[in-house]
Amino acid sequence: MTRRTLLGALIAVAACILGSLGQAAESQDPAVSALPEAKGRPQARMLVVTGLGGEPDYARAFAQQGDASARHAEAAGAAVTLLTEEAASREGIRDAIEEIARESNETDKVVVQLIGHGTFDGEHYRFNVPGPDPTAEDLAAWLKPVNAKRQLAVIATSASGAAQGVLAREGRAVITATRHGRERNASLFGGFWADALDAPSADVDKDQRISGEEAFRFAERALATFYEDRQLIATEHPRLEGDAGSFIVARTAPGEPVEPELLHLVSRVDELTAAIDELKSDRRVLTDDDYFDKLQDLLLELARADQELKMRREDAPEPDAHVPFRGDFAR
Amino acid sequence: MTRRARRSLTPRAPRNQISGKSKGVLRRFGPTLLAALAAVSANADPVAECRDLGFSDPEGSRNCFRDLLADPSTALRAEAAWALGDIQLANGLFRSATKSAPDDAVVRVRWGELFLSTYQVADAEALFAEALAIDPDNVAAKLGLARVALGRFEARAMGIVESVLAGDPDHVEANLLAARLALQVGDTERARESLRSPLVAEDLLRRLEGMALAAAIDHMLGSVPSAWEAKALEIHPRYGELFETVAHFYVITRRYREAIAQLTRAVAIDPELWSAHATLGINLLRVNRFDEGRRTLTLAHDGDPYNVEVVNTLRLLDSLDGWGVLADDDVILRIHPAESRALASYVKRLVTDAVATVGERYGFVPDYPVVVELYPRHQDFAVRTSGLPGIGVLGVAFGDVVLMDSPSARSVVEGFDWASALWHEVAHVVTLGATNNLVSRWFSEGVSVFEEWQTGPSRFRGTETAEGAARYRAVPIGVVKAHREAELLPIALLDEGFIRPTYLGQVMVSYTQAGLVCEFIAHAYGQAALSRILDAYRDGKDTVGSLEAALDTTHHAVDEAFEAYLDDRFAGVDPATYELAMQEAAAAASKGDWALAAEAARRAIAAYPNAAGVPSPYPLLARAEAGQGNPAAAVDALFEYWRAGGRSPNALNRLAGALDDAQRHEDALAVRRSLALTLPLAVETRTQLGDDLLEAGQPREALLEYQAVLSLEPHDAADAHYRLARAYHRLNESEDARRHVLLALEIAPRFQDALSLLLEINQ
Repeated sequence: MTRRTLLGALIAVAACILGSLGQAAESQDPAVSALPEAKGRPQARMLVVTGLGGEPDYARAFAQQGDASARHAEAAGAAVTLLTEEAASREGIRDAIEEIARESNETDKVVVQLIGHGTFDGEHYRFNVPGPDPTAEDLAAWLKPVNAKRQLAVIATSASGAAQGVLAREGRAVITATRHGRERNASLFGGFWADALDAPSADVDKDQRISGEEAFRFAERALATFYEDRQLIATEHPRLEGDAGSFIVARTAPGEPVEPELLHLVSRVDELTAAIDELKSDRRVLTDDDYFDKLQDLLLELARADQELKMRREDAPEPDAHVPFRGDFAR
Repeated sequence: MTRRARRSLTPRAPRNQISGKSKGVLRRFGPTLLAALAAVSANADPVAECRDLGFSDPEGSRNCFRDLLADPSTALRAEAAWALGDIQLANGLFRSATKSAPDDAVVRVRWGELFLSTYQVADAEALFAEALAIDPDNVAAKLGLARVALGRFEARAMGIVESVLAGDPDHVEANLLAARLALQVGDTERARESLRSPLVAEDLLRRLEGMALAAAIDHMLGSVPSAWEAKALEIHPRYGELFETVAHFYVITRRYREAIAQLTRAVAIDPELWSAHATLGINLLRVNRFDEGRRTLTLAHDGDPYNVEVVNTLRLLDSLDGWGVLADDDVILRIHPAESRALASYVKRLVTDAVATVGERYGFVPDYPVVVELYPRHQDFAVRTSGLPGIGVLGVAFGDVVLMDSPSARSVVEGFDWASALWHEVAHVVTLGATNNLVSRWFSEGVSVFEEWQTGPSRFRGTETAEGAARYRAVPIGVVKAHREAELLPIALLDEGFIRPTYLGQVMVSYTQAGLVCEFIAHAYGQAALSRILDAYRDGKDTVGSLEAALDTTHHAVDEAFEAYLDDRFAGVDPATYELAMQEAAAAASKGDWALAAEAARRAIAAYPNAAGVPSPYPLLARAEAGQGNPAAAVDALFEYWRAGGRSPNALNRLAGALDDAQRHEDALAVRRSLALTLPLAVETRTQLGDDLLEAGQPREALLEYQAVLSLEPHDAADAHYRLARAYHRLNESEDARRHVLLALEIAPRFQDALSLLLEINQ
């Protein structure tokens, strides 16, 4: 199969809406409705394209990376289109983006990830695919009709830094494997990005979700360590422009369904989390003792609410095993 | 302070020399250069006349040279400018002289000497070669090349000198060089023999150099004070080169404190002998007298800003300003701040263990702290060691001061086992301390290598049931070949394998041979025999004397018995079969033909048991066994690898996981300790070891691992704080547990495990 559409089937049981931990952030986010459309329409759409490998090792690696990105996004509730081999042509990419443009709305989040080799001739960035290579300008033009206000482009290819400026737009975060178009060696960034999706340590805020920013930071660091350990000159320097923190690209654990009778506890957890964030913003005006005493009070209350939530869930009947991770690709 | 250039492209004079502030003309000349000067100017004596005047009338000498600056001969004007310290002018004049006389070999030699005196050895070498191209029989050019080779400890120096002496056995300068070469390898008899003609030379400078070398021979033999000192000073009371020469031989025999004493005498009688100040400064650093060393080097730099070693070392010292010094009764650790917390506990434990273990085995446990400096950049370590980048060793021990590459300086992939290297260097501290630094190079290296194998952190853990070569730790295959091709040196000459190698790789072969000799002695005569050899060295005996006194046999008999031992030790080792089998195993593995890969890997192991270097057949065998669905056999192969001293992180990681799966948690913990020691700056290895230790009920040790993790500024800081909190909680240290769990939750308020721990702590 060369084209795969994976509907991260968010089969929402009426009450199985947002997971307990993600709701506060989402409910405070004017761009995202507090409750997803109950019919199961995903709020996030992702296009993953693996380009030409050139050599079997690269082809295999790109295929694995593409598969990992698609699988994790699907598990996080996104509707995913994965283009590989012949389907990953210029027209195939254009058509897939047009489809996303048709099916998404302003409140959705859209992610486009390209994996493979890229080139830069001093003027245009090109993504290497079967047939004519699309340029960064092509991608920008195809994305123009997509009215989702939050977009993320992950260009995990050599020379991809040259696409930064072309793809930059308000509301769109752009991640590239290289700082500029002159970093032309085959890129390793995509591999470390794929590693991030499987690494619990990438989830630095321990909310059981890995955001685009978290995956980027993990991959950026792993890449630097790779070159340092081998005492090699780094031939790529990944770059992130914009806010990629609101895109969930993987989960470290399946989401928990929220029973209606637990909503008050979920709300309490969210309130406490917001209070902690507020306290952290006041850190400078407090003494250490005051700060940590207050922090402990809030955290203890949060811990107790969290504990109660867990206990109540343990008492609840097992959810349907076929229901995938809850659909909180967007938060 | 910043210092700009490592070296100048053209020779330039120190400012104070250009201004003519009174350096006696002798100042600019090292003894050998002066001898050369005399050699080439024997018939053109205006230069010699001016120079000799300096013995009695320094100012008259300078005036004499000033007059020469007006001489019509460009070459003579160049000599005069050089003697007066205007090196730039001299350089320009020599360039003009060679242009106007393109076929004059002598001028090229003199220009080469100028470059040599300004530390630009490659340029000097090129000019000597050009001179020889013009005049293949030019002795001064040949000896110039010999001096270049001598400075680099290259074996060809001896060949050049011998070729000159073959034509003229009494050639004074060639004999002076022959004496130096002999003394480099401790051959005092031959050195003394070579000094016969220099000591009666008419030329006073050459005679003085001969006296300095004669004094050095006396010092090396412990016959001090040397009568030659008084004789030399009688001729030239400010002849600081006398003590500088003696000091050089103390330095190369690792007696830095004695060298410092001699260099102090040198600069006392000749305060403007900048080369002696430089060597003094570098050697003060070697004995951990940092402040004095820095002051002395600064003085040397002020006097001669073009000494590359001084400039490099001062730049390095500038960069060490932010480094911490962790000191206790056992270890003084100078370490980069970013690595300090992660490495300090390991380094301290390794040093104290090595001092106690090796010290006890050799009857000398130092009662002074060992100084350890770890350099994250190899070139910094090289500069700290020798003043120059580009040395090939991993560590060095200057008595009680150990300098090393830090684990971050080299890749584990290239086989750098820093913990084993540190053990090796601390063994030097023992052998040097036990003999007052009189131990020979080969024996000190031999004990260090032997102790790496026997007691070090990557020691060989043999099995009682093993037979043949499998009973022993594997040595590099090149050593087996060298033994079979009769390339190993007799023990009496083994030092030369280190100091003056004659083939590529001989230094590494000599390290292993030295280790094997110690292994053989311990095997044939008992471990105590090694201590007796140290005692003999301490009493001033040389290698032959020490061996014969300690083993009660002739050194020839030891050589013969050693050879027979190696025949037995290497019996069945088949390098050709091993190399072929390794290639077949790798090829089969790449195709996924696991049965063939396993068969070939087993063949490789049979041909060369316990080979744990890079590459090793054991991880290949493990992959092949796993590929065939034999996990237990895969574990066995990796476990053998670890027991043989193998330290590939990937292999050990797989092994630890497999041992855990097989419920062999104790073995898994031992392997994870090795892994963490191999990669002490890796967050994953330290975290995993901490978890294992906590699981095994060793929270105090786990705490150290988690502290190390936090110091490495991990990506997942919340997790690092949480694990620390867990260890503190296990130790009932509630306040620290509370602090760290709050720090974890401050980063990640929804961190479920940390929230649970917070509740537990507050219950």
